[in-house]
Amino acid sequence: MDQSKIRNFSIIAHIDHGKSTLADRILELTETVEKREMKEQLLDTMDLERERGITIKLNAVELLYHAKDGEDYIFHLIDTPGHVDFTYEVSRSLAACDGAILVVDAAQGVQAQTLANVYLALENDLEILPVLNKIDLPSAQPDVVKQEIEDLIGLDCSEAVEISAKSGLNVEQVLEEIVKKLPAPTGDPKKELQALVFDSIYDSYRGIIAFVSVKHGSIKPKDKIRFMATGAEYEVIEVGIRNPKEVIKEELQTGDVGWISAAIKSIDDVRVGDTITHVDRPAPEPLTGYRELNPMVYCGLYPVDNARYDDLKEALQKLKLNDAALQFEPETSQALGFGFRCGFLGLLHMDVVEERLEREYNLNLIATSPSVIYHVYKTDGTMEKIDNPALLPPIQKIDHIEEPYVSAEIMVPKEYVGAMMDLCQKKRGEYVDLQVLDDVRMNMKYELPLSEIIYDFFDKMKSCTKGYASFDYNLSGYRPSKLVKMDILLNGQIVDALSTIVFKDFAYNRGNAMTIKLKELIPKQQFEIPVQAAIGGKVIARTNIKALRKNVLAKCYGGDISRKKKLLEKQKEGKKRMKMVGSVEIPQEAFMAVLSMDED
Amino acid sequence: MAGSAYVHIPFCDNICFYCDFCRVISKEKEKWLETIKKEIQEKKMGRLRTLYFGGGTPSSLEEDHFKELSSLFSFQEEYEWTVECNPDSLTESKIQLYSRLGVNRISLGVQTFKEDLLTSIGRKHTNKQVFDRIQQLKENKISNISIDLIYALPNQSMEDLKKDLDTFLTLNLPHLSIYSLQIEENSIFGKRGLEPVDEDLEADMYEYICERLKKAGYEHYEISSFCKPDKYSRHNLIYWSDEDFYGLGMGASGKENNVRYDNTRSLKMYLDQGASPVYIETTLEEKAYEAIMMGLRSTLGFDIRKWENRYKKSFKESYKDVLEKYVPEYLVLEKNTCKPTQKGMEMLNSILVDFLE
Repeated sequence: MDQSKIRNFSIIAHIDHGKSTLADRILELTETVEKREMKEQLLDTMDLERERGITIKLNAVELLYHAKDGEDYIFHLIDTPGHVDFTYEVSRSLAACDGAILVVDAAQGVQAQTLANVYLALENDLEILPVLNKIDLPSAQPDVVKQEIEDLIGLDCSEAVEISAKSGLNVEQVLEEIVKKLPAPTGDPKKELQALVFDSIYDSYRGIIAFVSVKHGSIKPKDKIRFMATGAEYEVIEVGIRNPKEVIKEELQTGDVGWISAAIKSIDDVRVGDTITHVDRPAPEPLTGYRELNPMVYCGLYPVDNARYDDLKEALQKLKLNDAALQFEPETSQALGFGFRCGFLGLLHMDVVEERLEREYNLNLIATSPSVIYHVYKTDGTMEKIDNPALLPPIQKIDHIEEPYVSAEIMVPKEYVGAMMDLCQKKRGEYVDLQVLDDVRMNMKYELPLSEIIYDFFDKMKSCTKGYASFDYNLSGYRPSKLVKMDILLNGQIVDALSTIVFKDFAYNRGNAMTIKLKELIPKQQFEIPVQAAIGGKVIARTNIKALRKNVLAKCYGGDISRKKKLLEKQKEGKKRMKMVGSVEIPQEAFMAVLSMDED
Repeated sequence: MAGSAYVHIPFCDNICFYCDFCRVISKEKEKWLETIKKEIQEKKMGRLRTLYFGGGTPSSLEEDHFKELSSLFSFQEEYEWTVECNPDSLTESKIQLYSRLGVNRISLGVQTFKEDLLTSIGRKHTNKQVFDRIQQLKENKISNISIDLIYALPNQSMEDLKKDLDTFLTLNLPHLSIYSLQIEENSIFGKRGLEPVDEDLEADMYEYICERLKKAGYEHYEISSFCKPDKYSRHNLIYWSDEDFYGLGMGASGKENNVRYDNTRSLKMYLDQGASPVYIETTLEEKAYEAIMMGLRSTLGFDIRKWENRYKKSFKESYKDVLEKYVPEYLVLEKNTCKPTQKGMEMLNSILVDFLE
């Protein structure tokens, strides 16, 4: 196919603004999928995927469109990960495209998530096609929303298509606009191969399958390829596309978006953002934008029921097959028994992994407070990397501690700059720069300790900017800080899993907030429980959980026995989700108390 | 064949704020009477040892209705027949009738002697009515009288509770049931989202009650029940000792051949189709647990040998860990019985949770 007849694009939309409905309509209109059997067909593929243990995602679909100019076009619709906080992955998916459709709800207008993704698309030089959806709603205000898009993003909306993805109104016009306004891939088929890896999945029969956008050159079975960043080399077994079923092709050419299988065993070889080239005719340099994703946040994961340690191990191994950024190794805690120290890209990544372990693998887990990696310089001149506060050497052996800092860029509408600066200041941020981007937006630069970001920074940012801020950060290096280990004692005993490393000047506040939060989260037990926060043996905050003195049903006669039994069964269920530490029963949430406490 | 029966009389003249029992304000009493008469006759019960009319408000029944209903029961010697009464619907004439028919125990719903608190929980009677009814009952040879009190009511102080107990003691009655207020989801309080009182205050109140009544010579024989020597509610003991009993009328529950059932709570369904009992399917395992759950409420003790014969396992073996944890501070084992201590009664739910497998 003629390269000028290819269009590669993503759909950018806020949740519920109609991204998947529009994608469905496009699939129908291009007759990629018969309308009637659409659901079934898609589900079939998914069931098959499920059996093989693959994550369900529709990474990229190839569509054939017969345009009004009489020509046939190939569209590649590339999906972006659902979680915008995975900024890097989203940006690589967008880098696989040449254009993007921006879908905005004509009733609700531009939302923060949309804004953040549009900025990423602009950074990747994508042509953006604004589309107003839900135009048939009585509350739709297309003109107001168009003005908003022009003001906030600076896109010309005079020709924005007004559609209803639900009813299909004007969707065909969107397809015509894709043909007319989005550019074709500009790569050179004669140049050395450069294929951008934007996603991967694990298939138990074929190993890791890489999803690529071929920017220059072409790739076919039996080619010897190299992943330029990781250096891994393989021989291609099959290439193909999805429509959305898997279709094997003879070759992927410049402008094609498809998959490559090469019996790849390790996910570590296939990094999102890496460039694939030929071994015998390599490209002089990789595509720009690759970043190595290393875990920045660590926490301990423990099964509530110790007997399920092996199940947890197996589940982590399975998740790892699809998730290069996830790291884990065994560790033990006095309080929690056997578990794993796990590394994540960030807090959201941690949440996602934890949720999948609980939901897909039916595990009952305790996650300990997240920690960054500290560089601990000891008096004997050596340095130790510590990602678990409980393992911090005793104070007298520490010369000083360094903690990771990030360079943060925060794009925010003008009116929230003040609130955002206050927040950064509170989080020990150092002001670097403030730039005016346009009439409405400013770009703030701060140096911030990573440990301050992983707590409640994002929640606070969302609430102080009404969600209209986008945040990006890069590790900038380590700096010495006044840091101390804060222990928590329950009933007089240190619970190692609750120890945290805190900035010394914050310790009193945090100790106080932590003990109060624990008092709230730990249910009353048959005896009074002192809750203390201590630094190096010195108690800095203290409260008591009063004893439970009365727990009995006043009335219980002949009727209603089943309901009363259910009440007890419910209490029993609650107990099962608790961990016995010494003589105290601690609910799962308490181990994450540090994330939900209010220090203000 | 069960020697006990519970009859549910669902009618009330007004609805109390704390109540979630099956209760209706209805004019269809005639049709109801026909239905329950048929239901009772079909049971073909033998002579009863204990009979309990509960509600709702049994004393709201018209005298001739009450008489008709009563004629369907026959008794063994030394029987106990309790009728729950509300001080404002119980008249002197009804008392005379009850006495004539052979009712020998009355449970009077007093709830509190503080009249403004009474109003705040939706009760309409006065203290004078309570004292008059008790006097009249005694004059009519019904001296086995129990009253119900509630504590931990919204805005009730410790002083209020002490006064309630003092008043009870001056009445010199053989039995008291005293309940902490439970805010049931389906009660008016529950629907209003009433906040429970401070847990510590409630515990203080309970401890005070137990102590005060013990000093006055009452035996604390169940979580919420106190009596003078040997004046137990024999009917209620049936529930706590895993015995069978008939459940009669809409909203009643029963247990026959160790299978529990709940009759319909819908008046319409009851009038159209009768009691329509739903039998509760439980495994032997679950039944064994329910027996413990009920049995440990009473200090008369839960009969271990009877339980072991019925459920085919060893009590001490099956619950080794639980017993180790709670004996002797919360539970005591004595002559083939297991019973709660004072502390055990206060924490019974926590203990029962550990008994659950």
